[in-house]
Amino acid sequence: MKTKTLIAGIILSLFLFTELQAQYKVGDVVSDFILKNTDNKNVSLSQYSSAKGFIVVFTSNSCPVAKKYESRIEQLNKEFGAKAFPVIAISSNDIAVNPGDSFEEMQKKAKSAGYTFPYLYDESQAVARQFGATNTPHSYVVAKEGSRMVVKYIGAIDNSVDDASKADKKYVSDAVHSLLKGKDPEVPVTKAIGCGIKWKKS
Amino acid sequence: MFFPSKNIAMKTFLIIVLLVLSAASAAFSQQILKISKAELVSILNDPSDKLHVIHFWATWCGPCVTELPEFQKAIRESDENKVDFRFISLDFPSEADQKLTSFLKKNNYTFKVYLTTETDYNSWIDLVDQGWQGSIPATLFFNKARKVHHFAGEPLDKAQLVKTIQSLL
Repeated sequence: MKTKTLIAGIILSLFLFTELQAQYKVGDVVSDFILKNTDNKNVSLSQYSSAKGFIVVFTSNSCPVAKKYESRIEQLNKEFGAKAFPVIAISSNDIAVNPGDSFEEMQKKAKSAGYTFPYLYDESQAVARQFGATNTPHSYVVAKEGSRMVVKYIGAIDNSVDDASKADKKYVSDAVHSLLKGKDPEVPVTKAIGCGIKWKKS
Repeated sequence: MFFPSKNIAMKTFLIIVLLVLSAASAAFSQQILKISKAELVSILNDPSDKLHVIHFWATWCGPCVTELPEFQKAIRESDENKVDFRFISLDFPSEADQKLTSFLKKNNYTFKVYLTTETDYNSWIDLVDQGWQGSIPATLFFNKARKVHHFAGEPLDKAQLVKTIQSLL
């Protein structure tokens, strides 16, 4: 009996450990999450029953790189929301470090920028950890395969932070276009210079 | 006779003033150099027995700005014959000339800063370190000749910098 409990304990702790350490790679299945939107309503992926997938972007009010991408994220939602690949934006920074990322400031930003997508507050940082997001902006394109949500792309939105018009590789857009055609993205992973997510001191 | 000599004296004076001014501006403008991807790759492949410290930062990055004085202090405590510091700025090209120049001037930083000209960051981030996700500040310590490679993806203070450098020399 003791051995069984011990084994069960080990299995459980391994499970918990992997859950905590979950850092999605392309091909991994995404677990659903529930976070509060700037309109105070909870949002989860499963609410979007007709979505073919999502563009999940970890972003921030205060990061200058994220600011550069603000309107591009809005454009992505305008273009792909209509094609059942809506944008879900998530802010995960510790507001003790970046007070400009507080829920109130997020509400102001969503209003002033006229965001047409949910801008979710990941107060516990659990969703950023679940995805393995490290930067802002950090984007994940996920696609529905049956009842599962599978990671198809991780990385930058495009290859020109400073000037959107100079971007000749639009990674997220290209990834979603491929997925809409039933193909996996040609470039599944990229890296980008950005602000590190400000983690809470544990 | 009187006028020409005065003229010559005046001209000489002007020339000296101009020379001093241009030397001063050259010294200042030298602070910001450009670095291409090819140049970065060539530094990363430097076979000489020297510890390179490449620091990636930008004026728009709060933690980077806080950290820079620590680097300035660490440079003072390091043997420049053994350690080669290089500061690579990831400032946005559209703002760099103005922001970076005034930032360096205001803070009296004397180290050379290289502005990256390759803004397709995905094309070179992995060349610096496979584990680097691209957030800054980030610092790479390496010495190819001694197979030393140490990457720090978080801000460092002077004590950490000096300790890391000592341990890698």
